[in-house]
Amino acid sequence: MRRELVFWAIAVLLLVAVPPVATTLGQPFYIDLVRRIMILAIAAVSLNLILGYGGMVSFGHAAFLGVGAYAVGILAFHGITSGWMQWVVAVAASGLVALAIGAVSIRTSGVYFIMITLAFSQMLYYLGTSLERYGGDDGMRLRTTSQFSGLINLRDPVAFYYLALVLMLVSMFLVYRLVNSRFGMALRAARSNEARTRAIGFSPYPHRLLAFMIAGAMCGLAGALYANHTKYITPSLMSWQQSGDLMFMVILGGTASIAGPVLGAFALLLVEDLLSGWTEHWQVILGPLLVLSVIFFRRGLAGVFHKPHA
Amino acid sequence: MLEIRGLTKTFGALRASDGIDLEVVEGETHAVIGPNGAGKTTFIDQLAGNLRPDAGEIRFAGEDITALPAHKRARKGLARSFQITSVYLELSALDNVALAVQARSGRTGFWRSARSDPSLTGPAEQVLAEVGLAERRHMLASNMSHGEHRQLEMAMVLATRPRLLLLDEPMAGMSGEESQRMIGLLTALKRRQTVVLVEHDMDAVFRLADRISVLVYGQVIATGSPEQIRANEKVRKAYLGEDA
Repeated sequence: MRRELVFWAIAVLLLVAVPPVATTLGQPFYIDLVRRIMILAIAAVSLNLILGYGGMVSFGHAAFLGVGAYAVGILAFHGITSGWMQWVVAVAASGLVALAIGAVSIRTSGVYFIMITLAFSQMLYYLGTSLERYGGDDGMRLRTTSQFSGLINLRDPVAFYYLALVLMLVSMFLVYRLVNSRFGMALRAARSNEARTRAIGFSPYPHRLLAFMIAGAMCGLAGALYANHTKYITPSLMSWQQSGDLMFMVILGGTASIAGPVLGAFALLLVEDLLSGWTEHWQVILGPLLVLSVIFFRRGLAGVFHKPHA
Repeated sequence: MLEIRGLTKTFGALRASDGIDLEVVEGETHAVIGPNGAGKTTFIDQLAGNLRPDAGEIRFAGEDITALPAHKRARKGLARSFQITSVYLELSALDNVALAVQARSGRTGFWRSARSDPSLTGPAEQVLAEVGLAERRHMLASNMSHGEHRQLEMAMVLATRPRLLLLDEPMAGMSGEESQRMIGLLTALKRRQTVVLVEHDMDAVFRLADRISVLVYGQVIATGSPEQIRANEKVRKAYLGEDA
């Protein structure tokens, strides 16, 4: 417990220190990089709720990233620049889309679940490419970042950085509360042993569907942040590669652990950044590295820091 | 308490349940025995709602539950144990049982920790003590022995405060000592609980059962007191004769 607390404190302090250190060193690029990682980490944390704790291997989670981003982009396109409005719509829209996708998908399991979630996200991807008005294939520029009544300016990279950090920590705390609540315990039970769970009187379906919806909504928030981060929204945000990346962050970091997906996001994207700066064939190196990490860190990176209680 | 009429279930050409009629009276321990492949587990699965019968009717406390899914039957007070141990391996013993308590309570929550909720852990600890696992409560189920798994499963079943227990070979794979402990537990339960017991261990069956039904090829060939079953000519031929 003590060790964990120290670990958390150090991690948060390090993240708080990034902007001043990067500015001092004259490397503001790192503020941008870590901010991007933290935003995608929120998406990974949300995926972990259903993949890690719910046992639902969704291969289409990037769809909600896209719905959140497009919600911001489309509203801005029509002159609605209020961040309050945009982000609420982003969260609500992705939650509703998740409810619809989940209602169908959760009736299946195993490989079928993977395929059906992939199919739904591909549908949304192609929907994105066909929205000519909103840039189609090429995507659309976000001319004005979300406006929060002057409370916070997302054009200020440091302010935006701290907002992303706070939201990442909040999303982790939310998932932590959720998975240890009655609802979360029943969700984990359904993953662990479905027949037993039914036999004691739980119906897995509503628990799974609600978790799927919450995860979709949370990922939609990440999408809204991401739109403001890149200031450019493209359908590729919903591509299966992006879904695969999110999935990998969760598995690499450690499923069913609170810090796991965040560690995974940092590990994957930092290594990716390092390798791509070194050679353009960085994927050739990253691939085997990922395979090795899965073999050697069976419980993910989080398992290296945190031993299970016996 | 439980009335079964004309229960039929076929898998291809196999008639696993072939028009089973059976009645379980409140308060009794009703054992179902039969040679391997007689359809005992299929029978229990249909009672618990894990399998849907092709024909027939199951009434529980006067209500037709034939079409009810497993979790709704559990809510009505029908609790089962599985022949193959079925617990949550990655959770502690206490978590396992607390989940059963939670299921019974019917209440959910999204914020407060279930693991430090005394209304869940209190009853769970009590049931764990009852089955003899009090000291193991913080152990992960995956680190427990087979016999302890069976005790834990029993604790989960009891924690739902069932009106009827469906036990599918609770003694399967147990050492002699573990079996004795389980028999002791079931003997204690017998006084306050209605039980349907499917079991291979004849010693246990004849010690525990008030009545016994013998299942052969999906049909009940005899129902009666342990003495009547022992004396039954058909049963001797079909079943006891084979083993003895």
